[in-house]
Amino acid sequence: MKTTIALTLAFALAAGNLFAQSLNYNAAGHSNEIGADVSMLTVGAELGSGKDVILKAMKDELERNMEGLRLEDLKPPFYIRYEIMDMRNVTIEATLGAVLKANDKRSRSRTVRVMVGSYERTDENFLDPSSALGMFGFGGVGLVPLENDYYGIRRSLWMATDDTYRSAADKYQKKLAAIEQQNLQEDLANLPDFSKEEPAQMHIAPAVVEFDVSKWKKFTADVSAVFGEYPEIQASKALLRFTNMMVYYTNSEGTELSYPITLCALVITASTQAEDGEQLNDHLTYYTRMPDGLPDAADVAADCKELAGLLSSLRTAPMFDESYTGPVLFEGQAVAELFSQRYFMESDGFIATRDMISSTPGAAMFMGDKKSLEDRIGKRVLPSEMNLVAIPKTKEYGGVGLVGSYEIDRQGIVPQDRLVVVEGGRLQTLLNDRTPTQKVPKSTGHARVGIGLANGVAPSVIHVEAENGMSKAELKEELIQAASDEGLKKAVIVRKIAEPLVPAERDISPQDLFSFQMGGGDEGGLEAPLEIYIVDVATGEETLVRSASFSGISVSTMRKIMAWEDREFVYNTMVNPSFSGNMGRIMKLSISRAGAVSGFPASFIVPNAVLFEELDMKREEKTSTPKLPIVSSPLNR
Amino acid sequence: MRITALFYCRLSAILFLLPIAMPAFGQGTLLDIMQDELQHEFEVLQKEETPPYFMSYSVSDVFEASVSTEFGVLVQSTKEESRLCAVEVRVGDYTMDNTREIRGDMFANIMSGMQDMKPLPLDSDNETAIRQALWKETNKTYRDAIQRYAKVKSNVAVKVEAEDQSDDFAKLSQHANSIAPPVDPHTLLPDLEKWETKLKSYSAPFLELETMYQGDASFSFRFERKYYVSTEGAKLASNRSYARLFINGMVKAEDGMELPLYKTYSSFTPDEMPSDEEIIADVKAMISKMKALKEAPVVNPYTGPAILSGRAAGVFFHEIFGHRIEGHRQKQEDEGQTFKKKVDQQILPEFMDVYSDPTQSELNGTKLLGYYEYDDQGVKAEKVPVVVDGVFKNFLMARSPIEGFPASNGHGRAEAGYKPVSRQSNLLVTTDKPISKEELRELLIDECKKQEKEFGLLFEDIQGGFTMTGRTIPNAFNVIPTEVYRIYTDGRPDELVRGVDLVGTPLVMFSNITATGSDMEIFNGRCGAESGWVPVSAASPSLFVSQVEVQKKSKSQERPPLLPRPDADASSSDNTGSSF
Repeated sequence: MKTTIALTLAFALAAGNLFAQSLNYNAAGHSNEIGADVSMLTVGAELGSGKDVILKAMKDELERNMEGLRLEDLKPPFYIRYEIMDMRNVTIEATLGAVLKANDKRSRSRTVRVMVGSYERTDENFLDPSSALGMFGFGGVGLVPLENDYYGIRRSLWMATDDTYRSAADKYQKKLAAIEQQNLQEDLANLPDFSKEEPAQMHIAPAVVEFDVSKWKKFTADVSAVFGEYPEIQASKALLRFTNMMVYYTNSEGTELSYPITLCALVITASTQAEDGEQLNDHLTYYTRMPDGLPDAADVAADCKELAGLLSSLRTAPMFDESYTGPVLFEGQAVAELFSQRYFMESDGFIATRDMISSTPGAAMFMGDKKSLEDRIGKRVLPSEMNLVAIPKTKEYGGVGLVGSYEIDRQGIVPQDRLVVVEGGRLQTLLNDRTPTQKVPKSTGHARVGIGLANGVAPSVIHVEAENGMSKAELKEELIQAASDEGLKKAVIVRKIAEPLVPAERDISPQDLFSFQMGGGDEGGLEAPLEIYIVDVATGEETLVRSASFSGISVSTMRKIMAWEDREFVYNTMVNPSFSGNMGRIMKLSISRAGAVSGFPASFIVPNAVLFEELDMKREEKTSTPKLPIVSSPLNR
Repeated sequence: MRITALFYCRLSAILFLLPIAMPAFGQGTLLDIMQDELQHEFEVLQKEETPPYFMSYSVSDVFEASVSTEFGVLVQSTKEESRLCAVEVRVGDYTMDNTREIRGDMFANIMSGMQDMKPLPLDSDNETAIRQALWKETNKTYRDAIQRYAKVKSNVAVKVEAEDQSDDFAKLSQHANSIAPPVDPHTLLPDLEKWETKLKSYSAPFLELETMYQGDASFSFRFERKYYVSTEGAKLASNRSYARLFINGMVKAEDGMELPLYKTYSSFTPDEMPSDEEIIADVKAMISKMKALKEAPVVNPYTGPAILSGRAAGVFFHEIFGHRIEGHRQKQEDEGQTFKKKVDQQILPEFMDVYSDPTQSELNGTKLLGYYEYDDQGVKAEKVPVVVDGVFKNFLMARSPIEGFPASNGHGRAEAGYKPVSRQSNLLVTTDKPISKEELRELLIDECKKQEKEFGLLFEDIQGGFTMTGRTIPNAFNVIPTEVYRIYTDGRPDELVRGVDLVGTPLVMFSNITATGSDMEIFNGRCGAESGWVPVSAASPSLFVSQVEVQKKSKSQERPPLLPRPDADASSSDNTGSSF
C-alpha cells in the first residue's frame, strides 16, 4: 500500500515535472536564444499588432458557434467565452557570473469556456472523474497561429469550441442525472452556478518596452557572481524573467477586452548545508511591473552578500528548541508572508470556495479539501482594531509599485476600488469570481490572470489596516514582557519565511516524496521560516537559529494578535491559492524543480511587525540529513 | 505488471528538452575541464569506505529548432540551445554495483530511471562555474549510488537468486579516444524563416479539402555535440544531427472514425530534404487518399493472408521485434523475454537475416538515421547480426551484460540527460529469396483461395503501435495501419479500406512469414523508450504472411465537428457587424 502511494506520488511528480517544464519552456510559439549580437529587444509592440484581427476573429467565431452549435437531444450552449493570450517571455539565468540561459519566447495561446444550461444551473461546479481536467480550467487550451490570420485564428477556436461544447453538453446531462439521484442540501440545490454581471468593454494599449539584453545579461551575471566569494554556498542561481502579454477576451454576453499584463521577476536562490548536513536554502525576490523598476545591480549585489552571509552564519547556528509555545514576533517580510500564506494559500482562508455536486459519492474523493472561512462571515477573525481590505486598483503605495494591481479581472469584472474583507476584526466577505457561494453570490472581481500555471481566484493588493500600533522598540519590549509573564527564558522573532512558489535550490530525494503521504503538514501551516531569532528574555540579545517550523496557525490564534507596529511594510510576491493540499505541494515542488516563475502577482501592505501572544513552534522533523560533500568545492581549491 | 508503449513519435509530442542558449560550440577546453574534475573527484572519493570504481561525465551541447504550421499558417517557430550534463557514478565492482535492478521495489527502479539533467554554463570560459555544477552533481550522484548500492546488496541477500547471474557492468577492451572537429550548427540551419515559408506552402494545400480538420506540416532539426569522459580513460567528442519533416492530415468519417495520414521525411541535415515540388506533390496525393479513405468501407475482423509493404514491415520489425531484442530487457525479471530462450533457434524463415547496424549511414542512396560512431557509453558502434539464416543469434547490448552476452556491442543509447540502455540503431531485414511484387500478389491470391477467402489484405503503411513486453500479460502486439487494401481473388481492383488494427503475438506472426519481396523500403524515425528519444531507422523487404489477424479499431465516438471549418462555411461571411 505504501509503495502504491509512493509510486503514485512519483508519477505525479514526474507528471508535474512535465507540466512545469511545459509551462516554462514549451508553451512557446516562437522562441530564440538571444545571440551575442542582439543587444536590444523591443518587447510588446508585436503583441498589440494583431488586436483588430484577433478580436474580430474571436467575435465572429463566437457568434457562429452560439448560433450553430446544436447536438440533437442535448442543450445548446448558453455562454461561450474565448481568451487569447499573446505572450512574450525573456529569460536570463546565471550562476557564479556565467550565463546558463538567455532566451526570448513568444507564444499565442487560447482557452475556451462553453457552458450549457442557464445562470441558475450550468454544467459546471460538478465533479465527475471523467472531466477532472476541465475543473482546473484547462479546457480548450491550445496554440493559436502567431500570424494575424483571420481564418487561422478562427480554425483554432472552432475545433476547441466544438470539443468543449460536447463535453459541456454531456456533463450537463450527467449533472442533472446526479441531482435526480441525490438528496442535495436545499441551499446548494438552489444556489445559482454563474452570477449575472454587467458586460464590459475595455481596451488598453500594449506595454511596449525596450529591453536592453546586454545590460540585463550583465546585470544577472554580475549579481550571481557575488556567491563566488562564498565557497561554503554549494549552489546559487539568479533568474531574471520579463513577461509581457496582451490578453484578448470576448464572451457571448458582449464583454470585449484587450489589455496588457507585465511582470518582471528577479529571483535569486542559494543553498548550503549546516555542519550536521541540514539543507539550508534562502532566496531573494524582486517583482516589478517593468524591468526598469528593479533596483540597481549594486543594491541587489549588496542584498546577495547579506543573504550569503546569513546562510554562512546559519551553517553553524544552533538548532531551534524541540518545541516552543509562547509569544512570537513577526517582522517585515514574515508578516506579509504570514497574511499571504495563512489567508490566501491554505484552507480556512479568504478565497471563496464552492461546494461541488459530485457524480457519485465516491467521486467526492477527487475534491480538494480546501474550504474557505465562509461560515465565519460576521464573526471575528482578526483583532478588532484591524481591517483587511482589497484595493486592486491601487498601483503604488509608499513609493513602491504594486504588482497585484489591475483595472479589470479575467472575467471582465471591474473590481471595487476598495473591498472590505475584514472590518473591525469581523469577516465581511470573501474574494470571489463569478461562481456564487452561499454568502458571496456576486463576483468581487478577483478572477486573476496569472503567470504560467495559474488559474482561479487570487488576492490582488491586500492592505491590512491596523490602528493603535506601537514603535519597534516598544514591540520588542512587549515581546520580552509577554515571555517573561509566561515564565519563559526565551522569546522568538521571525524575520523571513520561504515564499511558496520560489524554486528552492535543493535536491529532492525519495524521502521528500514519502513525507507527502504523511499528511504534509498541519492545517493553516506556513512555509519554513528562513530567518528566525531567539531573544534572551534577560538581556534582549538575539541569536540566529535554524531548523524551526510552524505548527498550524488557527483562526483563533490570528484573533489573538496582541500588538503591531505603527509603520507599514509593502511587499510584492507570487501566490497560487489553487496549489493547496498534497497535490498542491507536488505542483509547487515540480515548479521549483523546473525553476519556473509561476502564480499570481500579489501585493501586501501590512504592519511592519505583529506580535502573537502565543504560538506553537517546533524543531523541523527530519529523520535524516544528507552528508556533507566529501570533495571540497571548486571554489575552495 | 509493466506495459511498454513504444511509438514512433509524432513531432507534436511534448519536447522534453530544456532549451537554453548559446554554448560556445566546439570549445576544446571543455573536455579538459571535465576530465580534470572527474579525475580529481574520483581520486578523492577513493579514500571513502565505499569508493566509486567507475565514473563518467557526459555533456551535450544541444541545438534544436522547430517550425510548425497549420493550413498554411505559422503556429510555432523555435530555436534553442542548451548545454546539459549528466554524471554517472558506480560503486561496488563490475560484478555487482548500484545500478542492479532492485527486485520488488518499483519505486526505486522508477526513481533511478528518471531523466536527470543539469544545465551547465554555456560559455566554457567560466571554468569555476562549470566545475561547481559538475561537483554538485557528482556529490549528489555519489550519495545516491551508495544508498542504492546498500539496497542492492540487501535485495540480493533477501530475495531468491536472480534468474540472470551476469555482471552489472561490462569491461571494455579498448577505450575510445576520438575528438571530432567542432561544427557550428547555425551553418547547418542558417535561415529558419526560410523553413517557415516552406512549411506554410506544404500545409496550405490541405485547405482545398473542406472536410479536413487537421492539416499540419512541421519541421525539426536537432544537432548535438556530445562530450564524454570516463575514469577508464575514454575521452570523446562527437557530433550528431537529425532533421525531420512531418506532414499530418486528418479527416473524420461520417461514423466518427478518425482517419489520419502521415508522411515523414528524415535526413541528417536540412539541406538534404526533398524539394518543395516533391513534397507538395506528396501532400496532394495524401489529400486524394484521404478523400478516398473517408468513403472507404470498414473491414470486419478477419484472419487470413496478407502482404506487408517494405515500409510497413520495417515499422513492424522495429516495434514488434526490435524492442524485444534490447539486451537489458532480458535481465529485468518482470519482462517477458520473448527471445531469451530462443538463442540459436529458428525464429524466421532460413532465407531471412536481421542486422542492427549503426555503422551504416546510407542504404540504396537513402540516409539511415540510426547511424553513429560511438554510443552514449563511449563504446564503438558495431554491426550486430541478430538473426542469421532465420536463426536468432544476438541481442543489442549496452554495457549491462546478460547471460551469455557479456560484452557491449555499442548499442547503449540515450537522449541527453537519460541513463543509456540498449536501444536500436538501424534495423535491417534482408532476404536471400527476393521475389517480385507480382509474384507476392500471386502467392497471396493462391493462399486466399486455399483458405477460401474472398480477399487478402495489403498493409501499405503503418503509423506505429504498441507492444506488451511484460511477463504478467499476454505478449501481444497491436499495430495501427493507416493504409490498407483488400486484394480480391476474383480480379476486382484493389479496394482501400479503413478501421483495422493488426494484432497478434510476435512468434506466431514470424512463423507465418513465407515469402519476401525484392524491394527494400526504409523507415526513418525517432523512437521513444525509457532512455528518451533516439533517432533510428528500420528497413525491410515486403513480407508475405500466410495468416494475420485484424480487429476493429477502437473508434472515437465523437462525430465530425458540428460546424463546418470557418473558412469553408458559406453561411459565415466575414461580417464586420457583431450582434452582441
